[in-house]
Amino acid sequence: MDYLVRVNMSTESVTREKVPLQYAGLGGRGLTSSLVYHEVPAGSDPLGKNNKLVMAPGLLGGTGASSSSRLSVGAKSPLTGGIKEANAGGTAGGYLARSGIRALVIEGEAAAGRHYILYLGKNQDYQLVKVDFEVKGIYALMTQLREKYGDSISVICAGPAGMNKMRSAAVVVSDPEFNPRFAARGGLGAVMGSKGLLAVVIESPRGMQRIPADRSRFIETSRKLNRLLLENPKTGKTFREFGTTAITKVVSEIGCLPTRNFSQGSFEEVESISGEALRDLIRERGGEGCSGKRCMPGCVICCSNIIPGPDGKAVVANLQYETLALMGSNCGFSSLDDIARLNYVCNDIGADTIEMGAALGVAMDGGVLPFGDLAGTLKLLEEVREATPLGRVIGNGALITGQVLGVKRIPVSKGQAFPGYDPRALKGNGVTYSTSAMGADHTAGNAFGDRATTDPLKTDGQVALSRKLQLRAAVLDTLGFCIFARPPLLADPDIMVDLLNSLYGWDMDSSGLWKIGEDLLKLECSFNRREGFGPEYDRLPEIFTQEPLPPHNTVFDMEPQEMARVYDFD
Amino acid sequence: MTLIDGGAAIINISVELHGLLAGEKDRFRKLSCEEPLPVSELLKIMKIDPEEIGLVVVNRRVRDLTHVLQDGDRVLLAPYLQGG
Repeated sequence: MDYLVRVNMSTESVTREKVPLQYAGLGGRGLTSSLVYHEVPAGSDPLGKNNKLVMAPGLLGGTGASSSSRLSVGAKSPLTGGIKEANAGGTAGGYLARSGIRALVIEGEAAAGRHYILYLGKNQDYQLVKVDFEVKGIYALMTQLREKYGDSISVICAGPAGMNKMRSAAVVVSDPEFNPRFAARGGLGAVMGSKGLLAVVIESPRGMQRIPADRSRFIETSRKLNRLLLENPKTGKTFREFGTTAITKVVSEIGCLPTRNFSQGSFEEVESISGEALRDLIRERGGEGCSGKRCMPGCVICCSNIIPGPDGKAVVANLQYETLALMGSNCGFSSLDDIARLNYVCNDIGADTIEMGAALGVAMDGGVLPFGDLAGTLKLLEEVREATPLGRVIGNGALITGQVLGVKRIPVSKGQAFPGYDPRALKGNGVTYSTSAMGADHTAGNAFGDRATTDPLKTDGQVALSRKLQLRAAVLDTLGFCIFARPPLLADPDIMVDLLNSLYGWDMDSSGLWKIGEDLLKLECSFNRREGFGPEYDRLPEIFTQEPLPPHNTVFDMEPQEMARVYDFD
Repeated sequence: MTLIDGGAAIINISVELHGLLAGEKDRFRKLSCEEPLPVSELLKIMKIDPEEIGLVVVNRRVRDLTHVLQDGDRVLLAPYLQGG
């Protein structure tokens, strides 16, 4: 793990350099954000040649420690205008790490109309290959790349949304079965498209392993983590059986489930899109449907599923809570089959289902089509794929859609759509959406897990809670951990410290671990301030402070002055 | 405290067991008892280990095990869950 690989799309060159000293000890989000902070000049156009797209495995990437090989993707976001990191499972993080690549830095921009595949073979066989075929969707692209390069590869790619530079576009990573995994948020797929980079193909680093400084201690701690993950009630059985959809019914019950463009906090038909309904559908239909699948080699949580159609054939993998919330209840859909189909199409376009679900909800609120109109929604999504003028409006996300249509309730913070928790009834998330440099992003600090200890409807304690959660997320993202692994890791942070020390031969204590997170949050905040986003941007849209959300009829009433103290760590 | 089904009850409560708490059992139950009771007592009667409870929601509000249930209350009991 010693090298940065720089790809200059303007000069069509690929170079390798030792990781500069200032980035030693960083990985994942810590590394992507630091590189973006130091190398992207202030005022750069997010879709211009001076922005950089950085892809980096976490510090533990490729080691085989459970749930720790996520790939962080970072850049200046075309959606928020600020710094952005999004991460995904799949095989790319582990492959890059085992290949000795600490980060890929994509710079410059290809000549107009030119698209490339970056091939990263073993033994520094790096090639930038001009694309000579048309790309209509992610699934076909995965197939084409497997036909060309074989199955011993990992793929990072952009879909039609990304190549058309739409702000809902994701960077997509292949999992062990070449199903797509999404570094979904912030429009980072559009940055990839703006560079003219269609895909990165990484040859399997077969025979290449990361060698820990203290191998026996690393293996011992990894085994301990596996045991704790399997024993923990949050990470053991529930995820295997229900995946992330386990929470759908509870989120609706406590009144923060996005419903019909965030006009309600509970969905009267939630039972039909609940985790239980999804589990039962998979069981009853059988066929190719299943739950308990893993998206990363070595992960013991296994939260993924394959949704079967009525004929038992796979419709989509993997249907998650956020998609159920944003493309389901938020768009008035109560059929799992409908939502699975919409999920498949969004995946194929390479778009974030959160941003698209929010944009579609806004479009429905704005009268473009009725809530729950499947045929109309599918038609709109095809317009996104084809990049028609209306398709471009929707594909550029909830804010642009709402502004074009004159819709009053636009569920965004810093230009990015709210994920599956209405901040008026889960106020800790409202603090995170408001203050995080990442914009409205539940993965930056999700208060749902603390609902029993901090009343989600009250303002008391929410800033301190968000501070704690944002710090934890920053650390997990830097190590490459999936946030679902957090219960045992946060109960005993020395597990993370032990893994790092035994891998790198460091002598860090837990205070050093949290310092990494503090420094990262402050750096990301500084980037946004530098780009002109002052404290006045750390707010939710006014309507969410005024319009009560049924059934609790609460508004987001956190004091901005109090939220401004979110990064007071002392 | 006894929980009776269909007797001369004063207190009627509907209970939903969420996710793995239900197992293969019926998720939805209607229960009756003679007087208000705390959630912890309800768990004893339903033979549910409080250690398995990650969340108690009564009439859409998050509550704890000491919360006293009243006639007509709607209770959702969930195991430990974390957000996506």
